[in-house]
Amino acid sequence: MFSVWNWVAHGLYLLLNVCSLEVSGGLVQSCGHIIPESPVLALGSNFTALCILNESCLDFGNIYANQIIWKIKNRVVPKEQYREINRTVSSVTFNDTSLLATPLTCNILADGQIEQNIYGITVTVGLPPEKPTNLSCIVYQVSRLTYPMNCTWNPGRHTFLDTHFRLKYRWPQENFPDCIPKDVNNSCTISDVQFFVNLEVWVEAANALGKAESDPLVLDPIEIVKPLSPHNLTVNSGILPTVLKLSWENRISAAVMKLKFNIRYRIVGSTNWIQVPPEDTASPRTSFSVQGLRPYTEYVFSIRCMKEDGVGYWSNWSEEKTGVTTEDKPSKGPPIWRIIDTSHSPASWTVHLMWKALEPFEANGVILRYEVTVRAKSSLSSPPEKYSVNTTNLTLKLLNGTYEVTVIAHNSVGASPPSVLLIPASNSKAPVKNVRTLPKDGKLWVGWTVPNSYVLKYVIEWCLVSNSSDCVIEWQNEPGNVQGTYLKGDIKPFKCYLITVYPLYADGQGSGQSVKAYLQQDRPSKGPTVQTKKVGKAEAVLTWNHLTVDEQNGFIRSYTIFYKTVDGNETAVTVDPSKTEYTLSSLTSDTLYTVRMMAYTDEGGRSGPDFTFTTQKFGKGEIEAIVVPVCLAFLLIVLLGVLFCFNKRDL
Amino acid sequence: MAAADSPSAALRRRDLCSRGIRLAGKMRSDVVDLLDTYVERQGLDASASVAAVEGVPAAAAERWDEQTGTQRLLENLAAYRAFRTLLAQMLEEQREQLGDADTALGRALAAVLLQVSAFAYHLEELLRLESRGPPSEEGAGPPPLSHLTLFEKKLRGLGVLRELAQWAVRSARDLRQLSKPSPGSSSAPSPAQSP
Repeated sequence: MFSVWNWVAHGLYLLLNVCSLEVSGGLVQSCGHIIPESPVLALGSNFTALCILNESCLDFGNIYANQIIWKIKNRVVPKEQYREINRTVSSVTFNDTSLLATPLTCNILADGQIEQNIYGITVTVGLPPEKPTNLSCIVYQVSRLTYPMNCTWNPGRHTFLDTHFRLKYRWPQENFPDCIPKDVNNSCTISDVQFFVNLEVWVEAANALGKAESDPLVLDPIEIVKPLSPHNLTVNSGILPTVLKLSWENRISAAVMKLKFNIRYRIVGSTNWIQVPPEDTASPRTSFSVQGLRPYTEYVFSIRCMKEDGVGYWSNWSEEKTGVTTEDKPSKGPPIWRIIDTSHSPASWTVHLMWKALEPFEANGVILRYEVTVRAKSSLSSPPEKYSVNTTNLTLKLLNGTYEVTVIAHNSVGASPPSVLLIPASNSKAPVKNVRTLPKDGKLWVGWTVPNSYVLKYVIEWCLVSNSSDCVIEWQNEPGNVQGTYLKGDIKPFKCYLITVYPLYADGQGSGQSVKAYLQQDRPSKGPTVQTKKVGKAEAVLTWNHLTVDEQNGFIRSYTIFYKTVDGNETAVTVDPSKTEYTLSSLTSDTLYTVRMMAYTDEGGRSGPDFTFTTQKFGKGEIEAIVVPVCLAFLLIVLLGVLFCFNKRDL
Repeated sequence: MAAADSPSAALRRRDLCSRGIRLAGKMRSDVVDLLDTYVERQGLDASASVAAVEGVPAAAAERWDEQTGTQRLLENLAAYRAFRTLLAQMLEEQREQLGDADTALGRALAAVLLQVSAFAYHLEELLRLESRGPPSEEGAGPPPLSHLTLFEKKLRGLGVLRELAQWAVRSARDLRQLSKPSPGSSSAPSPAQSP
C-alpha cells in the first residue's frame, strides 16, 4: 500500500520536472550567438565580432541590439567600439587584437537593469609561424649498417599557438614520408638515409594562422657523415724499443666511404696528447707503426676517423688502449761521488762510493746491476778490480793513492756508457773561494767564486748538522760552467746544514770549501742555563754552556745577561757569542741577585732559566783583617795585663 | 655529337658518373650482404644454380667494347627498370609470405630497391644530358608469377639478386668508361636509333 503511493508520488514528481523544463526551455535556450565562434587571430590585426539575437529572445521584455554590452573577461568594452547593425545584430570592432583577451562575451541589460549573459566565445591570439632558418643536418653512424640523419633548425619566434613542424625530404623522383619531431620543435631524426643520391630537405611549420617553409637544403648524405670510431684497437711492441704498432678495425665499409685517420698518444700519467702527423694517416688503413717513442715506457693510444677527402665530420675518439715499448740500453751512466774516511789511519782509506739511480728516461728499462771498476792509477802494474752490485753504493778499503772509478749500469738489453770519477791521492788542485748561501723561494742557493783553471764539474755536498743524528751526506753534480745552484733535496727550515763545494778537474780535485747555512732561521728553542762559578763580595763569575745545534735554530749572534736584586732594576750586559764565562762586578754585598741569560739569532732571542745567588758579606781577607787585629789586640791586652800584674807583684 | 657539351653539362655528367659509380659499388656490397640474408631466411642452398631470370638482360655483354656510351646507358636503364619491378614483386611476396613487413630481410630489400630506383634515375639524367632522353617505361611488366610454386619463386629471387650483383659491377665499369674525357665516345657515331 505504502509502496504504491511512493511510486505514484515519484511519477508525479518526474512529470512536473519534465513539464517545468519544457516551460523554462525558453530561458535555458540561448538568446543569441556570436560569430565567429572560437576564432584564432593574428596578433596586432583588427577583428570584428557580431552578436546575433534570436527572434524568440526578443519577446522576453524588450531586448534590442542597442542594449548589448560587450565584455572582455569582466571588463566592459568601450561603447565607441560597438556598432548596431540592425535590431538584432550588434558588432564590436577591435583595431589591435593584442588588447583582446578570452572570453569575449555578449551581454544584455534586460528589464530591471539586470545584466544577463547571452553568449561567449574563446578568442585565441597568436602569430603565424616564421620561416624556419639555419637548417642543418648530420648523419650519425649508429651501427655498421645504420645511418640515421638528424636535422636541426631554428623554429623562429614564439607564436603563442600550437605550431607543428615537419621535416620533409625527397629525391627528384621519389617522395618519402615526413619526419615528425617528438617533444621538440627544432629537430628531427630520419631513421635511415641512402647515399650517393642528392636529397632535398626542408622544414614546414604550420599553425591555425598559416604555414611557412624553410629554404631547402640539397645534399648528398655521404657528405655529412659522422662515422663510428674505429674499434678493437690493439697495441703491439716490436723489435725496436722506440716503436709500437697499432691495429684496429674500421666500422664503415670501403663501399660506403674511404677513411682517413688521426692518431693521438700520451705517456700514462701525463695529460699532454701528442698527435701523429695527420698527413701520415691520411689514407685508408687498418694499422700504423708509431715511431720516436721512449723505450720502456707505457703509452695510451686513441684513434678517430672521417671521410678521406675531409668532407663530413670526425668520429669520436676511440676507446683508449695502452702498450709498453721494449727496453733499450741505458743512455747515460750514473753520476758518482765518494766519501773518504781516513780516521783509522791516514795511509789506508775507507772509501764509500755512491752513485745516483738513473731516471726512467735514462735507464730505458729495469737496471739489473751496476758494474764498478776501480783502477789504481798510481801503480800501473796492479790490474783493475771489478765489482758487480745491485745497490747504489759500495764501500772499499784502499791504500792511499789515485784511483779511477768507473760505473756502468746494466739492464736486460745492454750497458750504459761508463761514468768516471777520479779520486786523487790528495785534493791538491785549486779550490773554489767565497762559498756563500742565500735562501730564495723556499730553496737554498749556494754560490762560489770560480777558480782560475778549467773546471770539469762541481760536486756540492750537504748534510744536516744535529746532535741527535749523524750528518748524512747528500750530494749533487753541477756542470763546470756555473757559479751557483739551488740544492736539490728536502732542505728543512730552522736546521743547520753543512755545505761543501768541490771542484773536479780532468786530472785532480780541489779541496772542499765548507759553509754552514740555514734555509730559514728562528729564535732559539731554549735559552742558555747560567750558573755561578765563583761568587765574591762585589763580583760573581757566571758560566754557561753553548746551546746545542738543535736548540739554536740559527746562528747565535750574541748573548745578553740580565741581573737584578729583589727590589732593584734589571741590568743588561751584552756578551760575545763565543764566550762561556763572564764576571759581573760592582755588585752590592750580601744581596740576593737573580740572573738570567738570553741567546739571540737574527730572528729573535730566548731566555734561559733564572739563577739566584747571594753576594758575600765580607770580601776576601776582610774577615782576616778584622779577626787578626782583634786577636792581636786581645793578645796584647792580655800580655799587658800579665806584665802589669807581674809589675805589681814585684813592688 | 651531343649538343649539351657546355662546361656545366660536362660537370653534371662527371658528377652523375662519379656518384653513380659509388652508388653501384655500394649497391653491389649491399646486394652481396642481402644475398646471404636471403639464402638464410628463405632456407636455400647458397650454391644452388639458377636458370637465367626472365625479363632481365644478362650483365655479361658479348660485344661490350663495340658499344657506344649511349647504348650502354640504354642497356643499363632497361636492366635497372626491370630490377625495380622484380624487386618490388619480391618485396611484396616476402611480406605476404613472412607476414611481418619490417623484418631485416624486408628492410634490406627495401633499401636495395631504393638504390636501384635511384640508379635508374641517375641513368635517365645521363641520357637526358646526351640529349637523347630516356625511353618511356614500357607498359608490359614482368610475367605474372602465379604459376610458380613457392620454391620456384624463392629460386627466382635468388637469381634476380645474383644478376643484380653482376649488373652493379658492369654498371660501375660502364660509368667509368663514360666519364673518361674523350670526345665523341659518349654519343652514337651513326644517326641510327638505338633499340
